[in-house]
Amino acid sequence: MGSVSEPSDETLLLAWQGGDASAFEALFRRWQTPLHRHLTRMLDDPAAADDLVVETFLRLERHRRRWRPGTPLRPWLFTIARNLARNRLRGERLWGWLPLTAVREDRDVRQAMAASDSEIQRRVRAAFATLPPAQREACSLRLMADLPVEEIARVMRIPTGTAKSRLFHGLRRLRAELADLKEE
Amino acid sequence: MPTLGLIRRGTPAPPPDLWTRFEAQMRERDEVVRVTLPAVGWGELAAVAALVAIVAVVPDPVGFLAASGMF
Repeated sequence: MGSVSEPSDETLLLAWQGGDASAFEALFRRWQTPLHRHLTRMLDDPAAADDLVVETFLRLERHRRRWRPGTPLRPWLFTIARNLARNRLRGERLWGWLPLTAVREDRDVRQAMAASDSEIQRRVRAAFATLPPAQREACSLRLMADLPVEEIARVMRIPTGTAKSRLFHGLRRLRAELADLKEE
Repeated sequence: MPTLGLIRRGTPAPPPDLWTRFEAQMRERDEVVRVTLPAVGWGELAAVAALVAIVAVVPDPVGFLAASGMF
């Protein structure tokens, strides 16, 4: 992200550390959509993604003094989001031990949500659901947030070669799943 | 890659009020975390100075304070 005319993430972070509150708002607005899309794909729940985008920036704000000039923001931001998403999913798995009625209610809500999706949304959601979690995460970081392979590897804490391989297999599968859909 | 366009179109965008929500939560957090210490005036400073002086000058500060009924 960030074209020639726009200040880089790092410039905005420096301005923010220097006390310019508007720089933080600019960062938030720049990254909220890629983060939200990525978290939606990770959690399969747009409402939960809303919460976690806000929480990611709250954490970033709280730990802003830890950032050192010259360090790219993106991997840091997406690592915070990743940890929050994993905690949430872990919590949901624990909720899975609740009585069946509670689980059934949750499933009903999800089914109602799915019914209200557009056809494309439904297909994309289904295509991502066919991917193993590690491929899903790599593809989401690439497609939703434009992260280069090196940053994907850093966020996922895996070697670059592994990230490339997960991307390759994941993207191939997504293309196959969505091959019959045409761009309007 | 046409698939990229499709996938982005097929992923809902965030609601427009996320920044407002963030600001509200920041305010809420600040309210919870903020600790306000009581103001220190001349009276409090004089009391601390007297205590430090007693501890430094008097050979048996506890006995002195006990004998003077302050401890």
